[in-house]
Amino acid sequence: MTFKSVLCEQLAKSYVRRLRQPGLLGAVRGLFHTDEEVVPAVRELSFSIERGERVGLIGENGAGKSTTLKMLTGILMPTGGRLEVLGLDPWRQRRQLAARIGVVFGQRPQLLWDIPVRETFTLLKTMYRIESKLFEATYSEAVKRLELEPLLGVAVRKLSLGQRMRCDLAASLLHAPEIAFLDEPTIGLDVSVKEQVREFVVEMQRRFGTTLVLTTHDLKDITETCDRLLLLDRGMLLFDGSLRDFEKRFATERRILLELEKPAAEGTAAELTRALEPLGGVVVECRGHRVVVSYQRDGAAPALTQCLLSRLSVSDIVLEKADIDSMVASIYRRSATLESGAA
Amino acid sequence: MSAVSPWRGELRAQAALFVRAARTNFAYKPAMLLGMATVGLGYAVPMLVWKQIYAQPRVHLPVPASQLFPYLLLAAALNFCSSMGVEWRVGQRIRLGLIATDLLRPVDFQLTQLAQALADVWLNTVMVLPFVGLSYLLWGRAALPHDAVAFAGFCASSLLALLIQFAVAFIFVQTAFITLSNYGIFVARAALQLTFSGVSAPLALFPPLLRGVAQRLPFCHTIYTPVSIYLGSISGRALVEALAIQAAWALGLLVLGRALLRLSLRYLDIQGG
Amino acid sequence: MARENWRIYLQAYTASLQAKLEYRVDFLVSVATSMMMQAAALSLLWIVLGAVPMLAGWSPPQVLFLFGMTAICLGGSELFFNQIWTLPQAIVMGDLDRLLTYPVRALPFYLVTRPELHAFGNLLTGAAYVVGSLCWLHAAWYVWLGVPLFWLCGMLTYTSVLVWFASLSFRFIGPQLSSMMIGHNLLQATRYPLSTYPRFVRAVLLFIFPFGTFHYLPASVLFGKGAPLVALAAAPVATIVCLLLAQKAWDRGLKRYESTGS
Repeated sequence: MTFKSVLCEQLAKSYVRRLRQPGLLGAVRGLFHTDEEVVPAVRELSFSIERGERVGLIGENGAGKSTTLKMLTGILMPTGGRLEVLGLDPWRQRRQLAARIGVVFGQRPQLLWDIPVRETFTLLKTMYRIESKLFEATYSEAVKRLELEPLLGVAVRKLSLGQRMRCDLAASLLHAPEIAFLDEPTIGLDVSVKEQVREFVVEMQRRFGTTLVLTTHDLKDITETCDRLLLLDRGMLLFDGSLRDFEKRFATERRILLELEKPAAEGTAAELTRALEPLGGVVVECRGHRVVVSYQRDGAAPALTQCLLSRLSVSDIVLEKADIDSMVASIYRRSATLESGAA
Repeated sequence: MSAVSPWRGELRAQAALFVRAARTNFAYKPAMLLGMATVGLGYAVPMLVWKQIYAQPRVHLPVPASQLFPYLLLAAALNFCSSMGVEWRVGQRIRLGLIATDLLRPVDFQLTQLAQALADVWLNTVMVLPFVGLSYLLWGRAALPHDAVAFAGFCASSLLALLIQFAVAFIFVQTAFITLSNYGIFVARAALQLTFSGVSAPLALFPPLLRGVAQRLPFCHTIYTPVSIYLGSISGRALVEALAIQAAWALGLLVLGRALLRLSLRYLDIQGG
Repeated sequence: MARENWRIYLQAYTASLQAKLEYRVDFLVSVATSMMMQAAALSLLWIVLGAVPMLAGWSPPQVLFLFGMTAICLGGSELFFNQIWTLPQAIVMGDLDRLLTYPVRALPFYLVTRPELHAFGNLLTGAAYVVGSLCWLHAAWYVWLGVPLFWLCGMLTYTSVLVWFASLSFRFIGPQLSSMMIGHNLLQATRYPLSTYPRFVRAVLLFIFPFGTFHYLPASVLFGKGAPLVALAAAPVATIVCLLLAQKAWDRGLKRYESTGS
């Protein structure tokens, strides 16, 4: 008997916004009559997540990823559709669900109190009724891997962002939850701390079989910790599938990077564009010593390279596959014509 | 950098902030209604208590009822008008450590806060006008300004009163540098205001000891002085003197506030580093 | 169905209190300012009693008793449940998210995690007034016994009313505390005996915002002002009703919670 960790059908969330009229007169008018509009943040989202999956949610600001996460964790009440997490209704059975999940908010890691970190952990032990044995295990693992030892006696208020984030992460996984929801966990952190966070998440996930649901702007978070990707745009799902599928479908873009011996002349970009167009190449950048050309067609590389080498004096040339960032960017550019992947 | 004089630029910036603050205030309709309810409440309590007192037999008081009740209503109205969110706004900024960046801005911090406070006052005044109209309905002639001079004096006096109120709040809020208790500061100042401003009774009704203290503090000049001028209890030479004292308090406290702020930043830790 | 985890509220509260007490300057300033506030209240009474020997049939020590009870109920609420005052702000900033991910009842947990230290000032002066007035009146032993009960009722009733007002912030977004100030002012109005006020006001303060039930009514009974004995039961009844309404208001409010970010 398997039930899905997360199941949502036609999930939707809309907000009612009061429209403010511009100017001072408008403000006074606003006293007597207000116009309202309904703004959808999430519309008709449908997907499911199995136990143990590691899912990443990406999307631009305003896409609805945090809103979705907050509905999944019972913070926001959905305005439409059906939602089930661990077989529970997150909104109606919030407390029950809360005992079995862990949540981390990257943009506002607040551990609620002005008390030392160690005491916060003890408090959480009581709150989640963590058995001593399990607590010992998760606590020591977290302290070791996230290097929390020097922070234990410090009041939460006095920690830096990176330190607070590490503590918050540890705190949320102390009770070895069945699902871990991480909302932008690496935002604003140093590169080394980001690495630490990712490794810790992967390790905990591996050890306890936690289902992972992660939202982020940093695609490296996804490539290193997730194996499935959900792409949101303006409240709708644009893509739902494994990372591999994503690359296969969208990594059709390739690039040629050229280092020139002399800086590019004035009309070079236009000239190159004219020359490369029939060959399927697009000039992405032509500035100073650097020229970048992207192309979609398979097998276009030799012809393009030849054309470029004949027209420019090149000191270095590199061919590369597009990285996941630019893949996502191009998806947004073409969002109207995309089909969603199979769920 | 344009060649416009810095003052003109600053004035423009202040005006823009004023408009923005006012707009924000007006945007919250329910807040306005609740504010009006607070006015009613603020007036009702002392009024009812005094009504009860005058109703009791063999009561001799230096101020007749006909003068006291308009005084109380006007005092409550003015008190409400002059409530500014200074402690709230500035206190938050101090607690969150944002004050350092505020002081780096090209626009003067104290004046910015004054602009926002005046926006509050403007909004409050709109809400309080019905109550002033009400007082005319209830007491007729006695509720109107005593004469044109009294009215002019009242206008000047209330402006000075607002400045004093703002300056005092600005000074008080700086205790936020040493304490996290934002509400506590508000309460402390509100307590002093309540006791010494004359909102609950004109100074003539104060026990002598209390009156002596009140006259030496700036608080009575925020309510008692303007309302008394309006009603004509302070007139002629006393009027001019009162205005002068108010002006002195206003200036002195504003300057003190600036000096204290500079000092606070230099010597105390800014919270939330 | 999970058992209620009562221990956590106490633990969270003591942790928060400990944290607050570490800021010694803060503590002293808070206590000092609230004592100032109580002194101010007393000076108001001084003005009033300078004019008349009795107020609406209540003697000075009896009025002082009312002042004291109001103060300790206010102080009690501030000592245990003060975080309600930051609710409007928290809603605007989306600070409730974290709270809602904990497996605890959001409302009581929220209330207890920010004790206000100036409560000590109110509690001390209030207690002084209560003790002083009861001694002055040579009150019977059962009056003394009633005080803690009515104190408890008062704290909870007042806090509940604040929750009603604060929950408006879910619906009407805006950094405004004015609605809660009404609750506060209404409580302060009950420092004076309710017989001072016209019948309409008295009704409001007994039946809508039932602040009169935990000091005015009991005092009317116990100081021999002719109120029936059953009036003593009004306090606990009012408290329970208010608490239920508070929870309801909070729950309804959460439905409209929007948080921040997307």
